[in-house]
Amino acid sequence: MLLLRIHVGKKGYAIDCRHIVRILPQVNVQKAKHVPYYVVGLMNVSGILVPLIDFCQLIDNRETGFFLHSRIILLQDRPNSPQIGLLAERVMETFEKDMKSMTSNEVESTHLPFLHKCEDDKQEEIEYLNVSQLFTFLLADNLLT
Amino acid sequence: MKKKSFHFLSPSLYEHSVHPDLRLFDKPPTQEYIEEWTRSLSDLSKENTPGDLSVLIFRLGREWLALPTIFFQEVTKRRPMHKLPHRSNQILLGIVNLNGQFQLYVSLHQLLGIELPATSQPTQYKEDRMVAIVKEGIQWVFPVEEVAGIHRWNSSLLEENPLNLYGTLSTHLKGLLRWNGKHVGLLDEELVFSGLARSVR
Repeated sequence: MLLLRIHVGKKGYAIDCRHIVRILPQVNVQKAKHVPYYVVGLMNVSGILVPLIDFCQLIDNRETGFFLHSRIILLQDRPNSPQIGLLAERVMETFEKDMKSMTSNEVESTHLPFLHKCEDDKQEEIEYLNVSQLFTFLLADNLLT
Repeated sequence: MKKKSFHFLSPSLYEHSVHPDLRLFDKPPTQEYIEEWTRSLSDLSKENTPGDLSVLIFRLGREWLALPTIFFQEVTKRRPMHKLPHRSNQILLGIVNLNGQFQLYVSLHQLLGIELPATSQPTQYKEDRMVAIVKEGIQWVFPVEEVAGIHRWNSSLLEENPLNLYGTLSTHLKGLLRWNGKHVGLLDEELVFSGLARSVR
C-alpha cells in the first residue's frame, strides 16, 4: 500500500494514497461561520466549496506552520463522494507498507477515533489516519452533509 | 489564507528539513504564489481541471474498460492458476498465488460476456497481465490483455451508453469515457463485485 507521510510538528502520520485526489500548496480560503474550531474556511475547487481542515489544530490545538512544506491534501472517502482539504506540515514523501500492519492496532485515543498507532517503513512510530473514519468523525461534527 | 508571521511560532515545534536541498521548503510561501494557486484551483474550465475521477484503464478482448483506481491492489504478470475441485465455474476459474497467498482467480471476460481471445498463449500479446481488485477485504484476481495505466477525468464528462450497445457488458457500464481516440467503458463497481460474489456461492 502506498502511503503519504504528513506531520504535526515532529510527529508523523500516514494516509492511504488511494483516498488522495490532489496535493496542493496553501491557498486563500473563504471564512465560514458556525464551523468547528479546526476548520480554516472553504476552498474554491473548480467552483465547488470544499472545507479545509487544519490538521495541526485538530491534533495539537495550534495553527499549521506557514511554510512551503505545509500543504493541502484533497481527500475523498469513495469515488464521487464529497471532498475535504487537510492542511498539514511536511507533506513531502510517500512510502510503501502492507495494509495489515497499518490497520491491526487498536484506536489510540477515544476523541480521535480515526488514528491508529503503527510503524512506518523504517520501523519508527507513526499513526495511520483512517480516511473513512475521519469522514465519519467530521459527519458527526456536522461538517459534512 | 491570511499571511502569517511565522516567527511568532515556536521553532521547537517543528523539525525542519535536514537535507540542504529540502531547506527551500522551510521558507514561507509568497502571497503571489498563494494567489496564483487560488486562481488556478478555482478555474471552472473542465478541460483545465485534472478531474475528480481516477480510473485504471485495461483491455479485455477488444473492449477497453475502466474501474476506479481505489479498488486496485496490484497489477502483475500472469501466474499459473490452480483449479478448485467441484467449485470452479465459468466465472470462478480457480485460485492463484499472489505474494505468497492464494487469491480467487476469476474471469471478468465471462462475467461481462466479452469474447475470449483466440488463444491464451502469453506470447501472443504485448503485455500479459493479471489484475487484483479488492473491496471490503475480499480480493479478486483476473487476467487482462493490456493495462493502459491510471487516468483522471471529470465525472461530469461521462457519456451515456450508446443505444446500439447490447448485452451483458452494457448492463455493467455506468457510461463511456473518451481516451486516446477510443471509447472506454466505465464499469459499475457495485455490479461487478456483486457478480463476482455470486460466482463463489
